Amino acid sequence: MDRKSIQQRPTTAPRPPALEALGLSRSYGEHLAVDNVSFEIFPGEVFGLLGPNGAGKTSLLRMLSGILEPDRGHARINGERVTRDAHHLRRGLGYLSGDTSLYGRLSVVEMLTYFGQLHGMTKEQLDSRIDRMVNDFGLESFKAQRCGALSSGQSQRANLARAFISNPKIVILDEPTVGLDVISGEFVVQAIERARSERKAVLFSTHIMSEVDKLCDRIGLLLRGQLKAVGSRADLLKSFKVSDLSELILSLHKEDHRP
Amino acid sequence: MTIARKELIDSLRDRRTLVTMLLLPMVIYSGAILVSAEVAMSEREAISNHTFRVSSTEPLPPKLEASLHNTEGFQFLGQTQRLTAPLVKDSDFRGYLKSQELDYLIIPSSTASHALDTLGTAHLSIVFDATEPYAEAGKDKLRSAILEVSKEIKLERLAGLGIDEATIKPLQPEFRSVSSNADLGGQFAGSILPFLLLFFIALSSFYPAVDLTAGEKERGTIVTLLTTPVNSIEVVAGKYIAIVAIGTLTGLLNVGAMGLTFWRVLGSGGSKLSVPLPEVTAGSSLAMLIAVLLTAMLLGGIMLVASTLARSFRDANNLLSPVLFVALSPGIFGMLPRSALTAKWAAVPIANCVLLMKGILQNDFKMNLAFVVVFSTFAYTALLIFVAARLFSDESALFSQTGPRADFRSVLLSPPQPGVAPAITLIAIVFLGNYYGGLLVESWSVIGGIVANQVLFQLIPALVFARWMGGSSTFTNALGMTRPHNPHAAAMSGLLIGAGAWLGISLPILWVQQALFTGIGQASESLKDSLSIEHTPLLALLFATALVPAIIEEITFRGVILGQLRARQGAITTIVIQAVLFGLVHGSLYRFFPTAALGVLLGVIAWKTRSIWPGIVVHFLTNAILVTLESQASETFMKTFSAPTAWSFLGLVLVGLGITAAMRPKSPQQSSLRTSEFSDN
Repeated sequence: MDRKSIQQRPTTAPRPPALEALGLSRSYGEHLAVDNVSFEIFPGEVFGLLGPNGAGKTSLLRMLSGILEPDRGHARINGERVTRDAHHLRRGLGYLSGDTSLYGRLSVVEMLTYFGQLHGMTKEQLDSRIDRMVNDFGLESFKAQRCGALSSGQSQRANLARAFISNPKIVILDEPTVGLDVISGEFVVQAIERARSERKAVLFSTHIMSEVDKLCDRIGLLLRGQLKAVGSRADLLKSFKVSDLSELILSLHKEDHRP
Repeated sequence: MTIARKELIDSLRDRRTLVTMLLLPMVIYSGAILVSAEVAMSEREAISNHTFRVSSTEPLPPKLEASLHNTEGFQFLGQTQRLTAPLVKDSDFRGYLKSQELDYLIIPSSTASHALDTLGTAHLSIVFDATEPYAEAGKDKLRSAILEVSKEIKLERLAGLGIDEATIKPLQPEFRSVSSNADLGGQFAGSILPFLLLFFIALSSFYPAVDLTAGEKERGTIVTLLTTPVNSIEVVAGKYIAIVAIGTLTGLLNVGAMGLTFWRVLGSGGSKLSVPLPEVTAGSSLAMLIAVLLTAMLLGGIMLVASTLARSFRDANNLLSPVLFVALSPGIFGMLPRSALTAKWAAVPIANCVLLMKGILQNDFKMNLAFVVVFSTFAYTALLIFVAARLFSDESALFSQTGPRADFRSVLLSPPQPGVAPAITLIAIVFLGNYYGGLLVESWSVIGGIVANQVLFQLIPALVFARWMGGSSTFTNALGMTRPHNPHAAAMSGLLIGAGAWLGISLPILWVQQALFTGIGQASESLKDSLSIEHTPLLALLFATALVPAIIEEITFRGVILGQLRARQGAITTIVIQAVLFGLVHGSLYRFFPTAALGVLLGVIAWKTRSIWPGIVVHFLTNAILVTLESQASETFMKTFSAPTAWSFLGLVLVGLGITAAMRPKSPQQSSLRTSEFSDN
């Protein structure tokens, strides 16, 4: 199956992509975790990265944000090449993943202030932005508590606030809903929808199909380090002649293991 | 600073930091001193209040019996009761002492009374139980009581024989200590305080260092930090500042706690326990503060590097313990009674800090060596921070849970981005190499030694560094060995500035320096001594101290370093930083200001002409004029320069003309070519 044939750009193109992966590859020893992955995300678009555990999602997202250096290929943010040293590019980037923990001995507000300052925000900008974050993510009742004392749902909301504190144009959310209760999960969904309305580019990885159905403008299927397909949900279902995405993943998975 | 502040707050909220920082030094150890002082005092009181029970097997000389009756602290019980069985073995005696509750039993020899009558010596054997708590103290007391009586008898005997006491006392030594209480205090404090400080600073920086690195990995906050737009040098510097702040604070709290403790012991105990105190002046306090800061800087750097390699708290504990042990061992050296800060030790890490503190406390403080301690510590710190920052951008050091702790090959060998940090790292290496190279080659021939030192420890590191950093520019470009924009103007400018720089810039600075700091002395004197200028041919001198340094130092500072700094910084920052480094690397306090000022001048020329050639001319002429004058001119002629003279105006005019020449716009046909040549720099 030719990948290019199903790779579609949104109809409003041409506009410059906010985030691009250009042939990204990365291996750990013998294990090839990410294999020649290319795609791009446009402002105002929510891109869902769908794949089972161990598909290479986290490595891919880390390379896109410049935390991890690719073996081959490179990522671009607003057309500029991402490297470990190009830290200015991360000014416009919000990043949340399972391993972005918070400083347990700082209160929620202190933590948000700290990360805002690291993003170069002034005190005035921070004051109003923190109020906004407290409001958006419902942090009011525990904003003075130390991050180490929060429940997992509260912690994830604080972490979302952290990722959004600098009002970034690009947001990368790695499995943001995993292990969350319904209420906190709803904050995630709202945050993504709000980001789309603010014309942010959102890259969001998950293995929960319902979230993908509900939120994503386009979907990328990542299996064993390879991007198997990219397109809108309807396009994917149509071109692969399947009735839902789970079926698609399973069929691709089987195809992969065919002798 | 944002990072440093947050890390400081974070660390201070960690209970372990507070325990090692406050509780241990302030409470436990001050408490320990106070308690032991109390105990020592009450022991003394107990001894002086204790009454020793003494008895004898035979009658004692009446004078001695009377003396024992009258001396306070003794209860003489007279002759013992008849014994049921003779005492033979030691255990018999011990049992007897116990049963009679006796402290001492005096057993005169059978010939004792006869000996006393016939000018002989009466032998008194005294048994006691050494396991009794005060036995030793009582022994001294009893001995002096007996010797007192013995002296009385001696004088009587001498009088009877008509001999004066002086006859049998031909020599009588009398010692008098001329060291004041403050001197004694300094000696005492200097021998233990530095090591205690080293130990407590290490202990208190241990947890912050581990917490802010390995702890960050263990708690998974490291990725959060890496997603922010901050580079690894900033992250490491922030953490480092927090660690050093806590280490320094602990060191100062310790000095304070120790001062308070001794003051308290003295205050409450009065004269009962005389603890000599070192003299505390504003100068020594400031010097001590600096020494504590230097110690905290070095230890913090060592621990930052070691703990960045650790994967977890447990791992960090295992990793840091041997590192700490090795790092602290030079501190033992400072505790040796004869150790002192010498040129050889002044750049040995940790040992130099300990010896500096010792020197401060013992009032043996050498300004020029202290300067070497300061700068060598900065140099080591720069190297450590550089390594830590490289580790902090190494994936395996940050994320890997198995295999090697870091990709050491890439951490140490792959070239970093050009900028201030690598420039400082190079100069740190050059300084340390030059310092020890200088000490090493001093013993060889003077001229050969100077040249060898510059080539081996400055030119070669600079060339290797330039090659290593490479980048897109050519090697000669990286060294700044390019044709100046306007060769004629540049040559003119080099000659003019070179002719005037010593008179117009160096000399006036020396005068100001001498006027402001009377102790500093003359730079030329020390130069003269070390070169044995009178016995070396002028050509050799010019080669070793003018031509070679002009080329090598210009390549290093105006070529490589200036090129590094220019990649990231503006003109003023670049010129000032390279000039300060240029002044510092000469390793002498006397020469810092004149050299740094020359560095500014040379920096401006190199920046303007985009070439090091005019600077080489200036540098050569400046050194050559000084060396020629020093070796050829008469002392009386040189005297004219030891105080402000009008000649300096001539020098200034020459420098001014030269700078104007250097500022001349480049000739039009060359400008396009030059711009392209430098665009990749």
